[in-house]
Amino acid sequence: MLKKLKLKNRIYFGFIVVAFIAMSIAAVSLITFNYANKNFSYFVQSSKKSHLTLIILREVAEIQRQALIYTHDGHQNAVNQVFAIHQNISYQIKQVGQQDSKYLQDILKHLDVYVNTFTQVQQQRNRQEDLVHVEIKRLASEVESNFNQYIKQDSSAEDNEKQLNNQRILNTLLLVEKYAMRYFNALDSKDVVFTKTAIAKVHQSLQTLKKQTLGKSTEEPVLQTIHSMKQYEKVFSEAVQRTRGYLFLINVVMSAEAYEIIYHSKRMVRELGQELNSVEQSTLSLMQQVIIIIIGSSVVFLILIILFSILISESITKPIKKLTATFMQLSKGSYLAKIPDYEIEDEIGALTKAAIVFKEKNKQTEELLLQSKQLTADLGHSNEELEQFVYTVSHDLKSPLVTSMGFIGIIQKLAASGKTEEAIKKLDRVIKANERMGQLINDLIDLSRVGRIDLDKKSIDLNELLKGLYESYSTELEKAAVIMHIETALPSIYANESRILQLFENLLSNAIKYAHNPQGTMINIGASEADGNQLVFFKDNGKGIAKEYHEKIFALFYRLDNEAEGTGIGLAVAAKVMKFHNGSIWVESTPNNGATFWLKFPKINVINEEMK
Amino acid sequence: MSQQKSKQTLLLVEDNDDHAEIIQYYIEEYDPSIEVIRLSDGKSAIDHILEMNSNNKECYPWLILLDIKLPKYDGHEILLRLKSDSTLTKIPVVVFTTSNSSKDIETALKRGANSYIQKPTEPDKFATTIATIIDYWSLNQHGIIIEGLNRHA
Repeated sequence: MLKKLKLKNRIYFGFIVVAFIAMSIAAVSLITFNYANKNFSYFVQSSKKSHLTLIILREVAEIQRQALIYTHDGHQNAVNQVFAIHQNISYQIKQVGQQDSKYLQDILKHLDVYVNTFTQVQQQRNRQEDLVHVEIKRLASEVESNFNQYIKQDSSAEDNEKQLNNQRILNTLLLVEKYAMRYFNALDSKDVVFTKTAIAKVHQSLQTLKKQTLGKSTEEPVLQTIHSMKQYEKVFSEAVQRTRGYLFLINVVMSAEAYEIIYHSKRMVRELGQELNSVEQSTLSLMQQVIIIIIGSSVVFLILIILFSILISESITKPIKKLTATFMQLSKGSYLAKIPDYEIEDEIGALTKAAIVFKEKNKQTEELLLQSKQLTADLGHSNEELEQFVYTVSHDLKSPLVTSMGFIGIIQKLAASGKTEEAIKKLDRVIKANERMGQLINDLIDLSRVGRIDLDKKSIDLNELLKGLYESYSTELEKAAVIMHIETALPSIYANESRILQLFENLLSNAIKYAHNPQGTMINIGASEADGNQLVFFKDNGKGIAKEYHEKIFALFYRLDNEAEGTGIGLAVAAKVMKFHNGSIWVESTPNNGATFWLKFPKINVINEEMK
Repeated sequence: MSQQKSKQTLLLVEDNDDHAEIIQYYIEEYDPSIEVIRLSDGKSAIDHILEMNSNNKECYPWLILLDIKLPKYDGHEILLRLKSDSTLTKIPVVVFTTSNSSKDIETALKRGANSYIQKPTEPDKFATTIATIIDYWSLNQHGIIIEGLNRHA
């Protein structure tokens, strides 16, 4: 799939995959940390609770202290402090959240009891205050005033004993006052006993006095004093009761509540500690798991990234490497270098196309090189041919000149010596030599024309061409008693008509001149095919040609038979015509068995394809 | 000189009938006592030479006039045959040809041609050229050698 993507998209895809994997790592980390975070929030909660217990312990101590201050001094400020502290503790607990902790709920309950108790204490203490500061003082002064009434009314005041007794009662009364006050100030229960003892003493003295005054006018103030005293005692008892009540409340009930609160706090702290321990353990193992998961998944993802990167880079570098190797080969001029397949139209695709073009160019260069080598060889060959040509031409053209000049010299001598007739006879030889020279020159011009002037080629029907040849040579054939047979259904060839006609004329005139058979000369023209080439044969039944001359006969001016007429150019022209048509000519012959000239033409459809 | 002349035989190797006729005419005109044996191609020339050698008769030619361009075997081939034979090499060979190619001249001289003369292309030069060749080789001691050769044989 990857290999079907364009190069650019492949790189983008790689980046996207890497980014996706990196995000996956981040996501896994986030999820696992979130999971661990629950434990951390539990830690936070626990630490808040621990902190709360510290606050509670501190505040309970403080509230107890303030409560004690209140009981001793009765300061309203202490009362305010107690309520403020209560509010603060409740607030703190509610801040942390008491719902999930029974200890906190218990603490709140006990705190409420504590405060309610404190309210009772306050009521008791207010009542006691009232009793101590108002009732007791009033009753004390009532007792005093009643007793003083008695003392005033008592006529027997002069009685020392009585006076002393009265003084003693007064003193005892003072003592009662003193002890009572001391108790309410110092709250020492011994003072209660002292007070009660003093009160009992007062009662005893007053009963004695009552008996003494029975029926007397002084009886009334005594009775009133006794009554007041009883009232006093009752109020004092109540005040003591109240005092003891609130002291009990404060010292026992409230202390117990405070203790409960502290106890619950401590238990909570202890349990928190235990829980935290186990949570710590589980958190530690969880963290280990988290780390393992994160590291493990990171490693897995990293391996995935690496594998993917390798895959991507391989998919890019592989074709590039292949192409590089190809280009290395191509740069060395190879036209056989294998170009790797690459179907996508991206940068590498463009490179591949460039390599194909490169290869094509190399191929062309190679072909050009071959052609130029061929041309060079041809040129060298042509030079040799030209040299040979010049040599042969100079020799063969000079030959008739030598003849003609030689005879002219003879004619001059003959004429000078008066042998006119003989001289005239020799003139014929000069004429013949010159004619031959003319013939040679004409033939040479023909030869030089081949391939130089007649460039226009066309499809030629050999049937028609040879029919025409036969007709134009019919007289000569008849004269030489040569029978010419042309096969039907000859092929068409792509050639220059006049040159091909010249070729067949040369072959025909050669046959007429040299292929004489005493039993009747026969010429046979036909065609066949071989290796995609068109073959035309020209067969005679003459005396044949020895093998050693099979090649020489196509050379310029080469003549097998000097007796017969001819310039030795005809077959040279034929060879040149065939070469000009990318074909060739050769002879197959054994002496006394006739000769077959073979003409090889490229097939017409092959030529058409080349032209395209 | 006249004593020697009567016995002179000249071997003319020439394929061109016209040339042979002209050369023979001028030789006869200059010195009718020279007997000219004409051979028209390379093969018959070589056959003749081989025959000369095997017969051991007094028929060694006084001079050979050799054309270069011949059918079957050319003049160079004949030269090689002549000059590689210890006896025949003594016969002077004058290459008499239309060719003026340096290649032909070089090859002929290398193979031991005693002289290389081009066939003239002016009417009055033929007579003088032939006369010069005959005179030169009549005066030259080679002629004496050939006589000695013939006498001993």
